[in-house]
Amino acid sequence: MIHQSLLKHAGGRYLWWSLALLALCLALFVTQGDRQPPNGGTWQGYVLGTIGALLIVWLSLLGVRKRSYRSTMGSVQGWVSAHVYLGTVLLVVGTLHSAAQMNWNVHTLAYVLMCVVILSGLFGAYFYLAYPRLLSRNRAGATREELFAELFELDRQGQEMAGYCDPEVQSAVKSAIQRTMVGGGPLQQLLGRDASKMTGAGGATEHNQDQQPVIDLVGRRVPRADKASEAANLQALVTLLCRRQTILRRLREDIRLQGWLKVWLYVHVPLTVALLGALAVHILTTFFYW
Amino acid sequence: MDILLRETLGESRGLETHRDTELSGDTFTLGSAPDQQIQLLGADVLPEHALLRSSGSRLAVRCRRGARVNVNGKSTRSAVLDRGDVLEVAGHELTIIDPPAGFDLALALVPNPEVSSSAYEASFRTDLDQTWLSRRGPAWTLLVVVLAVTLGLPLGYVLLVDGEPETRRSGLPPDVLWTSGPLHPVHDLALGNDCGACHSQLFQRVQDEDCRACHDALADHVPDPRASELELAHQRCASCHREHNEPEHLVILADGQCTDCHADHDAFARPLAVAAVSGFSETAHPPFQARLLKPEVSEAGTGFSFSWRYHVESIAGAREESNLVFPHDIHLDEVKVRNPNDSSPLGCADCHALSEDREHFRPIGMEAHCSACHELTFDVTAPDRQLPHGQPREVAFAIEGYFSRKFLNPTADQPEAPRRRRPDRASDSRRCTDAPPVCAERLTTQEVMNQFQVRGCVTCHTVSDNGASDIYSRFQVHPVRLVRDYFESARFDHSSHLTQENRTGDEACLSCHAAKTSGTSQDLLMPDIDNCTQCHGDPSVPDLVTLQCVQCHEFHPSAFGSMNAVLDAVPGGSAR
Repeated sequence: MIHQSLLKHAGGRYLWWSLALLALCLALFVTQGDRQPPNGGTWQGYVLGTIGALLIVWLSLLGVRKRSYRSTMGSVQGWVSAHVYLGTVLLVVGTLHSAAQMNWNVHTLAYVLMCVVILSGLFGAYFYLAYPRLLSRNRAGATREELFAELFELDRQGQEMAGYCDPEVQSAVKSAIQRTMVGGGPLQQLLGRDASKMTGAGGATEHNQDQQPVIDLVGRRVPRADKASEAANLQALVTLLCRRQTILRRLREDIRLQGWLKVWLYVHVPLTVALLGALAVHILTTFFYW
Repeated sequence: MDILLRETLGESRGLETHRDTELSGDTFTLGSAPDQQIQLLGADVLPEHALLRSSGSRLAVRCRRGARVNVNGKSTRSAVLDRGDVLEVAGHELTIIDPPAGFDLALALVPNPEVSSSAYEASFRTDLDQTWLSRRGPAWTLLVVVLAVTLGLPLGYVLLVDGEPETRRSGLPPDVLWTSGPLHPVHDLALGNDCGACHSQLFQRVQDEDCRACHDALADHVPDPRASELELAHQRCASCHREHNEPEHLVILADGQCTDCHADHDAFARPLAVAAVSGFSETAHPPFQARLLKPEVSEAGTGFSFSWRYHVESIAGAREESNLVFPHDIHLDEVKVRNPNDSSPLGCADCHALSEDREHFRPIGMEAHCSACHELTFDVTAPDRQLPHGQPREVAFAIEGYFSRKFLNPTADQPEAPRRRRPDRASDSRRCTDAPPVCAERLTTQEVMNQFQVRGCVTCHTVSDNGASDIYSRFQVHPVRLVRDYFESARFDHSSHLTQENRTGDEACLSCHAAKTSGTSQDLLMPDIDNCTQCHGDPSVPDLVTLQCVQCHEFHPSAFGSMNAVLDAVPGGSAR
């Protein structure tokens, strides 16, 4: 399980590597100040900058390594473990290199981009550690495909059973099934919000949040049924809708958790690319105007 | 318009089973979403895939954006189907068949057997990748924007436009994005955003010429011929002057900047015959050497000629040769000497007034500092008659004139009041009963001898006697030269040292200058390094007030010679 071994991979080997690198960088930093205040232009500053730049390039290569399925250069798990530890250390290395000198320039741009990338990565690491357990607990052993297959069958059956009911129930249940929302836009996926609608009594469009309104509507009809068979049908429909509600809840939660496992990447990846660009310009312009 | 949708469900006991659905209207939606009138599952079916429009017995199909269908085996986005035509959507087959009675149109649907109900997920957007969120697009956009704004725009400006300095300074040229920090306020005011004022060439470090474009009057550390032999030739202005730092920090003051060269005995100190310096302590810094004025005396005519040279020597054992007779100890003895104005004891500041530079003192002069006590009177009966100072021949003439007048015109210049005589003296020692010219000459000779040999001039001056019979050319007062700056290659702020621990004023002066015990003006009252190291040390010495090289020594001498006074004995120069 990746979430268990992410930090403890190879006995936390990369934690110790990172701490050693951190100690080295702190030592470099504190030996500055003899001739000029700490900054990126002392020899220690240049060394810190070189370490930081190499780290950034190597950390970015995780995206390449992940896609190289035939690569034998260490396991992806090891890479991710090192990525998390060394990426966190990079925050310190970059800050020490900059000596907290901030201005409106390409150098600070590179620093800010680096910070945002690392912070988004820390969010990602948190989700990777916390969410897989929640995901498997929510699915209760089933896969997402199985849940969707069951939903499809329930939808079919529900529409069929609704066909035997009076027009109002029929319209409500069919519209509820047809206008059920699973997932959707980024906010709906990430918040697990249910924007389902249904055609309620009187033909008006109503909210069908969490499918409860349609269950309530059908449920209220059960005691008012004229015939036993109708009551039985309505009762079966309520049971089906309740089962459907459970499936939908699981699906929404699954989509929500998977969304959070991924959403940080929409910040992390584009800003990494921007960071690589800013880093290249940062290094280049340092020597343009030496 | 009524349409029949007949879906083949499979075979049951040899019979094909169908599910019939009636659709009413002119347009029908087709897709995988649950609200589509014709719902077809599969990863290749979009939630809203196509729109069907019936007209008579024909059916027009138009795909939504990004969707395609096969009509009779041909991929298309829109088509008009007639009876018998087959519309295939991701493996699902829809055939237009003869409509049963009561229907205008009939469609036979044979679902794709390979698609199971688990493909239902494709009907919804369940992955963030299916939303407007994207990684690739923003990544490329940001990369292009970053490169364009921070590299392309400034580089294009520098290479192609590069406006006039005045325009650049007042405006906001794009290459300011490359600055690594703020400029020193003075540079900022003068240069503003004109990066090219200092960075004249890309990929080239700031050259000394760029600095000299403005700082053209600044003296170099050592004269050129020697600089070329030294490591210093490889140093740039920017080796010490670093811009773009925070806090702004234009000069690197660290001792290392100096001791990199000066501590190196073999490569630096010995070839230049200077002492190696590695810091400020009695072991790291050589003892102080004072620059003293020494007269070179040679015989000239019946007297001597004096030429003055600076001579640098260690403080220990050094003697002053100012030709002045001045005991500091007597003047600071409050029993023996008092201020004539208020009878207070004499203090240092009564004679030594600090200059505006707070390091040196204003020149000492007879008239300003001595004459209040040391009057140049020569006859007690004429206390208002004073001899001229600084003109030995005029002194003799003045005495001669005085006595000639006194004896040739006895009524003139009578004492204003009878002076009291001491009882044991019979009469005025200067009483003369001979002929007036004889008396005048005798007393003139007597007083001149007195002035130059007994009291008067000789009190403070060295006087040589050539034994001539002519009293006007017999005596020579040796010229006095006082050193104004004993340590020309060092700076010292006297005023900040006038307050020391438990000491102020004269006490503070005397803590460094041993004037109170100095009985002769040959004593050099300059303190040596051990006096400074009581309180000061370089940064490596704990608990002392840190003293860096540049706090005492200027790197850029204010004029050539000053920095090199220790290196060069100034040839021939006169006292400055």
